[in-house]
Amino acid sequence: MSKISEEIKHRIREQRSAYARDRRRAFLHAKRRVTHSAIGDYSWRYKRLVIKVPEVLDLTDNRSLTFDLAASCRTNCLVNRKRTLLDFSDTKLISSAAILYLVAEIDRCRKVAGVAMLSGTYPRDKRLHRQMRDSGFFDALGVKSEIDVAPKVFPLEYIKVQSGTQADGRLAVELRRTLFGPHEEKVPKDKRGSFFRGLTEAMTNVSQHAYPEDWDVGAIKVIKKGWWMLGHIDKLRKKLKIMIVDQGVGIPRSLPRTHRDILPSLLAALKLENNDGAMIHAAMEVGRSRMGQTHRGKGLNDLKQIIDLCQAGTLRILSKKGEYVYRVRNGLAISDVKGHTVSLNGTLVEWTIPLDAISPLLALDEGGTEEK
Amino acid sequence: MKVINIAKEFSPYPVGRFYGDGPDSGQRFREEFLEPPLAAGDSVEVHLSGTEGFGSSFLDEAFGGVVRKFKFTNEDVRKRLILVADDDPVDQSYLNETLEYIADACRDNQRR
Repeated sequence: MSKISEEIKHRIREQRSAYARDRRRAFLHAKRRVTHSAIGDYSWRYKRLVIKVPEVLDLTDNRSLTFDLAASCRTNCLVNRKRTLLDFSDTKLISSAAILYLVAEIDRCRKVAGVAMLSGTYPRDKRLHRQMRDSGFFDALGVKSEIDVAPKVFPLEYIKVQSGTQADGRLAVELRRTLFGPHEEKVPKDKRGSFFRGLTEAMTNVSQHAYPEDWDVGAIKVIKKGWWMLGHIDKLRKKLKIMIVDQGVGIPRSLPRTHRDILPSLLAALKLENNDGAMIHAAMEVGRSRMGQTHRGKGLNDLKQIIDLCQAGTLRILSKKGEYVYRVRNGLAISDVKGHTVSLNGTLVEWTIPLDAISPLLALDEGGTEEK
Repeated sequence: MKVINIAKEFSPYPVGRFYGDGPDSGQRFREEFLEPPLAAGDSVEVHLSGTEGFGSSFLDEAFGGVVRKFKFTNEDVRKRLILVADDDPVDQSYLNETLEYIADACRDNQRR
């Protein structure tokens, strides 16, 4: 008798817990619908949600459009698990920084949610089509280019985005060699060493600080220690651009974790407020001043070395809502800090250097694309 | 004396601080190349030239790290850890930077 009653009690308990579980699931589902509803119009032709990509994407004037597109990919693929198609037909211009940022986001979505989850269409603009083919954008989307590959003319305008999860000096050297081809020998040894150092120290920083073990990422999963790197030569403006991006916590969040003890005095010494831009500035100073610390290397301060050596160019670091710009003009080093309203999920480091400052022998005559 | 050429025997791409940072990290160089001969009471001569460059994290972890681990004084370093670089401004700058990390580590050891 008592055995039956125990069975009934157990069944009631199970039903109650199943009911509670269903209610909880329905509540979370409803909450998600409000905060992270899927974006785009469903297409019966493609059997996917279609997101119309804006005409111009960059990380300056059209920053929020670019971030919104990346956020839409994340929401659809990682939260709602809806197959999505990016419609580039009306897109005319994507800056190299935006290309890298979006390729990293697309790569994450396809690796975490599955390759079938995200795809894209071709742009009508042929120049953009070539740019997306050469930079590896189509590869990231799993789309085959419609235009045949043109013969290589060195230095190349783009190399395909490379990615990794460790500090890898081989990839840093490969980027430089692939971009310059036979012209690589014209780059002086000290500048080659500075490129190597800047890129590999950026990778080391990603490995050590960008993805802390105790970081709760929620539904938006990350590729642990992941970074993506792009090299671009703007032949019209005769400038070299090298960029590296990660999807980690960002410098404004990682600095207080690693330097909690010295941060208030550092911000006070630099006369900085406690905002994201100031945090990046403070992080640049940590390695230089060391503030009584030992065995810390030079950290982010190493990223400036190539700009100092060339005595020209710009280092731009975007992290969360902050932006830090370091430039050298007429022998004067100037740093500037900005704040934005929308947050970049992670950190992007960008070096822009005039080719003749790297070596006068690298002066080019070819035309190319203009961009911000 | 044990002679180590970083570019030829370890890697032409020495970057990263810890094992987790990558295959050519300062910690790996320190533990696999520098520490065994030094622990055996031998001295070491390290050739810095021939690499693609150095990450500062690598130099600090490898050379500053070994000085801290063995609690070397300036005198110990002079006798047992010899650094060699070609007569080239870039290689000499790596040498000078490494000497700075070693000097910092010696100062740490004195404070303790």
